[in-house]
Amino acid sequence: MTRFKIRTEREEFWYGTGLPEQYVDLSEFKDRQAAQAVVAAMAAEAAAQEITIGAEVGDLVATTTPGQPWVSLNVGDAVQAPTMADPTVFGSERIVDLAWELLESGRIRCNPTLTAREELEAIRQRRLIERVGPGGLNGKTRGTSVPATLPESLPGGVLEEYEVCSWNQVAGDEAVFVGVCPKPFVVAKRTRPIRFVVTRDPAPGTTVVEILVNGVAKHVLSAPPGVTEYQGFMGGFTIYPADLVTPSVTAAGSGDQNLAVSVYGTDAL
Amino acid sequence: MGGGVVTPFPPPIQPPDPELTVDVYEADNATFVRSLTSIMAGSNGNMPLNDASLTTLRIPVMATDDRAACTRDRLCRIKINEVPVHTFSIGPRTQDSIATNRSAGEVLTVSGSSYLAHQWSQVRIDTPFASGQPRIDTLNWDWGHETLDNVGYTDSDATPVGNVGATYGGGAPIVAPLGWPDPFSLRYSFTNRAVFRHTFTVSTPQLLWVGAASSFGFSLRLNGYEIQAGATAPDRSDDKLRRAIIPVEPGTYTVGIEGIAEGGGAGWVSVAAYLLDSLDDELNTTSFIFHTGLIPSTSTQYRWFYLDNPSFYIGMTEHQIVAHELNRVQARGALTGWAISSDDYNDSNEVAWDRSIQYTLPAYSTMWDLLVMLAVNGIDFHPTPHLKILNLYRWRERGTFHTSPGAPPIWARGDYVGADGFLQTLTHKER
Repeated sequence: MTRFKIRTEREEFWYGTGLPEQYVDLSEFKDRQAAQAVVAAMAAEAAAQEITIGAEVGDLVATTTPGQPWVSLNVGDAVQAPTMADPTVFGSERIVDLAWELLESGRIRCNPTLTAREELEAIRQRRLIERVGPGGLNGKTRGTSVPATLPESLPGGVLEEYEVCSWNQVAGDEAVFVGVCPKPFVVAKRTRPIRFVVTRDPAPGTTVVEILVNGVAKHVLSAPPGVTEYQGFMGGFTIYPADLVTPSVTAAGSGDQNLAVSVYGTDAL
Repeated sequence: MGGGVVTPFPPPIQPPDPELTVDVYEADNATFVRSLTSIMAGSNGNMPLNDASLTTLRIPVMATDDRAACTRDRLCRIKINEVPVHTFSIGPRTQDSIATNRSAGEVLTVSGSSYLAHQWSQVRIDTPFASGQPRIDTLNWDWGHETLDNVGYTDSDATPVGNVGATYGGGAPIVAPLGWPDPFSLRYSFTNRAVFRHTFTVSTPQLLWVGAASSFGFSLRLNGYEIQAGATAPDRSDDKLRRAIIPVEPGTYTVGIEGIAEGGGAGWVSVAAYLLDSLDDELNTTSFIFHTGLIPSTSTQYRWFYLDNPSFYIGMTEHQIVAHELNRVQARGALTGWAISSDDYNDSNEVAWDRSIQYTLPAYSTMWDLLVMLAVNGIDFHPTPHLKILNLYRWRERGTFHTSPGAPPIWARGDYVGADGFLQTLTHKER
């Protein structure tokens, strides 16, 4: 039993008998009997603690000299502990939490939480599942990410293509090709040409086609020999309403026949 | 009366140093307010890994100065044997009578969560539009993210092998009247799968026009977000040129495209991007900024980086993700003073990060959500107890669990800490 020297707001006095002696500052207490009750509780707690420790000494596995600090531990450190399956077998576990509580005696009791690797995996999976919200799986995506939704006001998507001009001279002689399109095309709205297609069959030579807008060359397509369907993209110009679009063959390939020129555009950007 | 031996009254025994001390600081974690001197038994707390710690302090109401110091949102720095173990932000406060200990009178119970959780859970990563609608569904961090460097990628400018100058029908690249090849006639061929990325800087608010086509499927991304995707086979992919127009503020952006040859084999992708001042601007050499390949007739070098047929996903490290988002919220004035002790390459325990990861987080998530999400998926985090420093670790790299698994200390049973702060015996608590 410990002998306490108790200090209250009004006095200091001894309480209990025996050794060791311990000083207790209870200066926030005015009443002597109340202070004694507190100290009695501390003594009871300390006694219980001693019994507890004594009872479990048999379970201790000495790693350091008796009386020396056992070991410094922190969150994340590994310890060996009896496994759940077989308490006689020690496995490697990890401290994932250090809880503490201030006792009446002024000392701190620590209650670390251990998890084995398998438990950590289970916790990890459980927490992942808990993050699944209504309507979908959140959290980690493996491989590819989830597409984001852009603001609705932004233009996007597949370009809308429509034919601006198509010129087809069936079974003509190459000399016939040279010249402007016999069917010039007048667009009704602002259009950006996005694709140009030159088809010939057969196509042994090189045919060069210019796309004219109001008589001004805006785009050149040079279809090489052997390619019956030749395409070009992104003209880099805009056709406005009332503009006259005329494909013009500037160099007819020798032997080329059945020429068709199409211009595709979009009123989207 | 005999002359007995006079025994002097023994001097009072010096009280032992308290094992628990608590310093109160203002919310800035720098302005000292007071050390609490009357913490009562029953006060408790914890310091978990990857989670918020919860602390409860019990203070006698009659300890006027201590009670007055514990106002809401101030910080309590908990020290056990003079070693700071954690800091919490004062939240709920209740005042109770203790029936079993009447002499103690009323007790003020002060509780709160850890400083890190308290602060980081109040900051949303992405701010919504003025209308309150979220700007995006998800927050993505992947190979298309703007903060990812090009380590491991091939510089297509330095080694233009693979840039296909062929046109749709064969032959040389189509040359437009402007004197430069049509961007979409320049294609990049690959085998099975390839990812490309190009980072550029915008100095004034503009419209970014991005178009892409491929022989098979592709995913076009801006800063990690998929903005277009297509599966063009078996049709002519050129008929399905896909584009997006996105307003961009000044800053750094990365356009990425992933091309996939379905069923394996050869495929190609083609990308072009323009910066426009308005929707009426022409797509021409002035607005053109880059393309999948190298266009020799313009003076700009288009540093387009690619990985041909990668067998893994290149992603950001967890540090890069947290640091990027921390920088963003700090630019808005939130989480001032917080720093991360890890870096792009190593965690807080000097262990190299794994880069092959991608993450997605729902909109409206907070910085705390981000940490928890990363912890769920594969890291550990733990704040430095008394500073605005966040430590990030590869999973299990905090402590000795991973670094010295061979002979860790053996678990003992019992209760209390020693006077020097070391745990002498421990109580096993099962989850």
